[in-house]
Amino acid sequence: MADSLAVTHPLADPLSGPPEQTGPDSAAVVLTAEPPLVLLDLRCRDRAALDGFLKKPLGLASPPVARAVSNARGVLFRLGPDWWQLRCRDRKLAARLLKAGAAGPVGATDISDAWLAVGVAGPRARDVLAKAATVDLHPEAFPAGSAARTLFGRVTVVIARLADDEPPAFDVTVSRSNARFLWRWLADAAREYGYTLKPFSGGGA
Amino acid sequence: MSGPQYRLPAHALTGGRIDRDRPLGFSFNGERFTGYAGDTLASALLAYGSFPLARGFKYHRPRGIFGTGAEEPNALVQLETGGRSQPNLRATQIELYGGLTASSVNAWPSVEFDLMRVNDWLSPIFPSGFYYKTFMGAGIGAGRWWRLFEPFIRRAAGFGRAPAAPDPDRYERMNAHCDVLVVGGGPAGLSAALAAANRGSRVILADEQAEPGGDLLAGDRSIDDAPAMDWVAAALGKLDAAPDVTVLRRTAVAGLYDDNFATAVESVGERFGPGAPEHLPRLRLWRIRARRIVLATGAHERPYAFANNDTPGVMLGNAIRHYAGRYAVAPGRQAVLGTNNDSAYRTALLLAQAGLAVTLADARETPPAALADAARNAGVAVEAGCVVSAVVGGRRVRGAKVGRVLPDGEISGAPRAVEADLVGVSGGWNPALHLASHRGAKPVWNEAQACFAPADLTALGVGAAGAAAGAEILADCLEQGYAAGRDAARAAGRTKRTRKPALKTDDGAAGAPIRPLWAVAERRSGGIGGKAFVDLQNDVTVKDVALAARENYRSVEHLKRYTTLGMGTDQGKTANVTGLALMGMETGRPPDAVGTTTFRPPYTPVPFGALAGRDRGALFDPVRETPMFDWHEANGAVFEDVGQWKRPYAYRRGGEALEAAIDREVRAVRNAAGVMDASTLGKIDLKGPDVVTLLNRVYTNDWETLKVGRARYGLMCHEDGMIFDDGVTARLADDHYLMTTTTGNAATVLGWLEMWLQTEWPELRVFATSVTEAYATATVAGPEARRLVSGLDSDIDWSDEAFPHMAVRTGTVLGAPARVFRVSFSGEASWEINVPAHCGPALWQALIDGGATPYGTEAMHVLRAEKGFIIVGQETDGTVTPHDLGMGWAVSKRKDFIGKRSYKRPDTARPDRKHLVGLLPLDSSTVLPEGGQIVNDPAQEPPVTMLGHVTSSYKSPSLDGGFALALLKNGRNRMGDTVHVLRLDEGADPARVVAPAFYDRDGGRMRG
Repeated sequence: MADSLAVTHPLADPLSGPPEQTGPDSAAVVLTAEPPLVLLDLRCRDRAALDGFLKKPLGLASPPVARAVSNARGVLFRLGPDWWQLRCRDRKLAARLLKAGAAGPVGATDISDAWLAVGVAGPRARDVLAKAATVDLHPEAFPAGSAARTLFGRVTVVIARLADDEPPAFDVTVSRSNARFLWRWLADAAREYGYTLKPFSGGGA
Repeated sequence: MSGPQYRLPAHALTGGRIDRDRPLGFSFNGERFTGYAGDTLASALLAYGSFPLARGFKYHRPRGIFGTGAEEPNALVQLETGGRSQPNLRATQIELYGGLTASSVNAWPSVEFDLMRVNDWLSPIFPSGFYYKTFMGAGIGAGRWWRLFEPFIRRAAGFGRAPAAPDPDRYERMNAHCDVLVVGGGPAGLSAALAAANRGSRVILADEQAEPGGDLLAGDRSIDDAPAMDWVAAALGKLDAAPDVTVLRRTAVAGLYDDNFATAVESVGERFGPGAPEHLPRLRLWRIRARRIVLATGAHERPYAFANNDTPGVMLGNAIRHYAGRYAVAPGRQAVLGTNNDSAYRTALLLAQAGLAVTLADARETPPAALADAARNAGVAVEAGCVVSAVVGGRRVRGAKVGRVLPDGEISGAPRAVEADLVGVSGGWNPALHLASHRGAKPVWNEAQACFAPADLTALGVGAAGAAAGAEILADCLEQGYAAGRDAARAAGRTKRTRKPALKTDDGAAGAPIRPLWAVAERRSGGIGGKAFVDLQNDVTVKDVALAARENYRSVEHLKRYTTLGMGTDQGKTANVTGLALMGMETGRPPDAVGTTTFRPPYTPVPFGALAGRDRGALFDPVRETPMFDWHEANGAVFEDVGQWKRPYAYRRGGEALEAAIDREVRAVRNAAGVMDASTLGKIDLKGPDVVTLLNRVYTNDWETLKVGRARYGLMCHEDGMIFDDGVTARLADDHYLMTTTTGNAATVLGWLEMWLQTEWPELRVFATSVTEAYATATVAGPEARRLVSGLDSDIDWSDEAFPHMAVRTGTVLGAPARVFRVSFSGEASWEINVPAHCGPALWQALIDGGATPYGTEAMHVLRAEKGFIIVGQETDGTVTPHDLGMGWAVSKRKDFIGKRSYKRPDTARPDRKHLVGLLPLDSSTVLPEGGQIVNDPAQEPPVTMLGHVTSSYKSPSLDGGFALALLKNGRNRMGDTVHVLRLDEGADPARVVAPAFYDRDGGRMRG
C-alpha cells in the first residue's frame, strides 16, 4: 500500500522464465498475474461481532469456513473459524477498517504486500491445479464461492473459485516470496496442454 | 532370423487387433524385426517363433515368452539405451512403436550362448539355500569366501542394468477424486463402470492395457449375437462421452491404501518411445481418492508343472488364445494343450480354426461333453484323463509327452510322445486379488474352484466382480460387474435408479469343475528327466519346494524366503498358488492351511521417475525470493539457502574472491555504512489486551516494563528450558506489538504461539498474524549509517536523542509508510527500515545510491560473532539454556514462563555445564574448524575426554585473525586456559579461552 516509492510486482513483464505461449493449445490454460492486492487479515472470536464490524462499510456477512463472498467493494474469504481475509477493491475501505480494527473485538492487519493473486483459467485449469492440490476441484465439490486454504505441493495457497464460469477460472493467492516459483511451476505443469502467460503489466492498486 | 512366419493370414481370424496397414520396424538384440501397430513387443517377436529371448535367473536355461500381460515371468527386456533405458520390462506389456530398441537381460555374453548355463549342469550342487549354506554358515572362513565370490554371484544373478545417464523424460502427477474407481476394463469392469455412470456417479475406470476389453480382446466371444468387441466399443463410447467419467487407458493401479486411496501409473508418452511428442510426459502417477472401489482385475491363469516346462514354446493356454485372436500370431504348427479345466477348449478351437494340428490333454476323466464334441468336430484330438508330463527340446519345443494321469496324480505307464512345437498349459485360474491384499485382507480358499478368492471387503468400501471374484463365464462377469457398479454408486450416495441391461452371451452349455492338478513328472513320476519349474522367474523347481518341506521351512513365509518363490519382479503371479499347494501336498495340508504371503504395492514395478514426478530440477522445492532478489542477482550475489529462502551470502565485485568480498563487506560496516536485506526475518503482528501476558509466558524475560515505541530482545524456550528461538519484539501501541523471529523459525514460532493460544490459554485475547512478507526490510549499519538515513526524504527524526538504541518509530520514508527499528546485530549503530514489500526494491536502490555497501549473510555472521551475539541453531542445538550462553540477564526470576521449571532440574542447574566462550587460536592466522571437538590434551590415550565444540569460527578483518565461539564444558570458569581444537582430518590447534565478545565490548558503537 505504498504511495510514492515505486511498486515492484514480482510477476511483472519482462519476467525471465518460461515462454509466454506454448503447447498444443495455448488457450488450454491461461495464467494471469493479478495487480497488487489491498488485503486485510481479520481475526475475530465472535462471528456476529465481525458481521457487525463489516456490515456498514462492506455490506457483506461472513461466509462459512472455506467459502468466499464478494460484491463490488471486496471479496471476503473465510479461512478458519476465527479467521478471514478481505480483499478490498480500494484503499479507502481498507484504511477505514484498519482504523476501526485498532481496538475492539476484531483484529485487522494490513497484509497487502504479503500476498499476490494468480488467475488460473481455461478448459485444463482444473488439471493443472490437480497436479499439486489434493482438494477436490470438481464443480460439484468446489462450486462458485469455494475458497480452500491448502498446500499446493509444498506451497501454502488459497485456491478460490469466485464465479460460476465454465471453463473454470480459479483465483490462487500465494505469498509474495513464492509467487515466481508458483508461476514457473504452473507454466511447466501446463506444458502438456498448452498455456498463455499474462504477466502483470502495470495499473491496478 | 527368418521372417514373421507365424503371423496368421488376415482372413483366418475375425478378432485381430493389429493394424496391418501400419508396419513398424524395431530391433531386438541388434537384429531387425517388423511388427504392426497394435502389437506388443512380445507378439511381434512371437510372430518370428518361440525363440529364446531370455535366460533363467539361476540356471541360465533358455526362456521364451510365457504369458500375455503382467503375469509374464520370462520375457524381461532392457528397453532403449542411454538415459531412457529401462531394465526388466515385460515384453508382453510393451506396446510396439517404430524404431523400438530392446535387448535381453541376464544373459552373458549373449542370449544365444550364455556361459552361465554351466549352472544348470552343475545344479546338483546349487539347490535352494546353497548360498546360505555355503557362504553364510558357521564354516571356517565362510565369510571370506562370500567376499571373494559375491561380485561374481551378483553379476550372474542380476537382471537388467540401471541407466547411468540422467533421465531425459518428464513425469507428471495427478490428484483425482471420484465416487467409484473401477480397476480393470474387461467385461466386468466395463459393466460396473456403466452401471455406476448411469446412476450419475463420478467414475474413474483404470485399465492397464493398450485398449480396454480384457479377455474379450481375444476376439472369439460374442454378446447379443455380435462380436463382443462391438459391445466393448459401444460401452467405451458411452463412458468417454459421459462428463464425469474418466477412462484411464494404459493405467495400472499400483496400490490400494487406507480410506480407498489408490495409486496408478498411466503410460502417456511412453508408447511413442524416444520420439514421443515433446509436451507429453512419459508417465503420470495418479493419486485417486475414491468413495468406493470395484476390483474387476480379472484372473491369472496358472500352469501345472512338468519336466522342462520352461522350454521356449511352452506357454499359458489362454495366452496362446490371445496371441492368436488379438495379434494373429500362433507360434507353432502342432500344438499340444494340457488342461484341467474348461478354459483351454476355446484356445483349442481357435488354433484349430487357424489351421494348427491340436492335441488337447484334459486331466479330467470325463470332460464336459458339449465342449469335447465341439473340439473334436473342429479336428482337435481330445485325450481325456491325460496330462502333458514332459517337453522334449532345449532351445525350443520339439515334442511333448502325454500320459494318463491316475486318480492319485501318478502317471500311468510310459507317456506317449507327441509331435509338437507349441505347448499350452492351463492348470486353473487365480483371481487377481493383489489389490484386495493391499488392504490387509487375507484371501479365502475356494475348494470347488481350487483357488484363493478375495475376502469380502464390503465394509471397507471395496467390491470385486468378474473373474477377480471367481466368475468363470462371461454372463457372470457382466452380471457381477453391473451389481458391483450399482452397489458402489448407491453406497457413494448416487440413488438414481437405472434399468439393468439384458445381455445375451455365448457361454453355451454348462461345463465341468476343475480337477486340481499342480505338478506331474519330477515329484510324482520321478526320473522322467528335466527340471519342473514352479517359479519361472526365480528358477524355483518342484524339487526345491520338496526340499524346503524336508528341511522344515514349511510356513509360507519360510518357503518364500528359502526358495525365493514369488520374490521376482512378477511377484510370483503364475507361481505362488502352485508353490504353496505343492507345499501343502508335501506336508499333508490343504493350501489354505499353508497360507499365502501378503501382496504389497506395487502390483507391477513402478519406475522411480513416476514416483519422483515433478519433484526434480529447478522446481524440486519451492524457492522464496525477497522483494530485492532481482537486484541481488544482478549485482554479483552468491546465494545461500536459508530454509526455502534465497539470501545473498556475499556480493562479488568483478573478479573478487569470495573471501575478499566478505572482508570488504565487514570493513564497510565497521568503517562506513552497509545495507543488508533482512526481509526474511520472521515478523508476527500481535494484537489484543493480553499480548504482554503472552510475551511474559513465551519469553524468558520481563515484558511488563516495555513502553510504546521501544523494543526488547527475548529468548524463547521449550518446556525443557532449552532455547529454540530469539528475536526483538517492539511495542507499536498499547495493545499492538510486532515480534521478530529467526528466518528459519518464522512459521514454527507462529505455530507455537497459536498452539498455546488455542489449546492452553484460550482466555488470552491475542491475535497473531504473520506479516513477514508484507514488509521489505533493509538494515543500514555502520558509523556512516545515520548520515545516510538522515538523507532520506522522511518525517522521522533520526537523532540519537529522538531515536535511541532499541527504539521503534513509524513514519514515512520516501513517501512510503515505514516502521523503523533501531536495533543492532552488527555492533554498529543500525536501523532496520521496513516498508511495504512491493516498495522494497525502490528503498534498496535509494540506500545504495546513498552510498551504502550491500553486505550478505556471511559478513553479518562475522560482525555478530565479533560481538558474541548468538545465532539460534548455530550456538544452540536444542540442548542449550540461556544460562549456558551467559544470558542469565535475559531470564526473569520474578515471573513464570515456559521452561522455567526445568532450570530446577539438577542437570540444568549444575555449574559445570557447557558454556559459551570465545576461543582465540594461539596462531592468529588459524581459523578453527566449525564443529571441531575441544580437548585438553590431544595426546591423551583414547577414549579422549571431549569438552565441547566450536560453534562459529571466522577470520576477522577487525581483529586481523581467526576467532571462534564455542561451547566448552565449565567454560566460564576456564578463562585464560589453553585448550586444543581437533582438526577434522588430523592434528589439533591450541587456542586460548576468552570471553565471548571480541569487539567494542561496552557497546558504545551501537548506541552512538
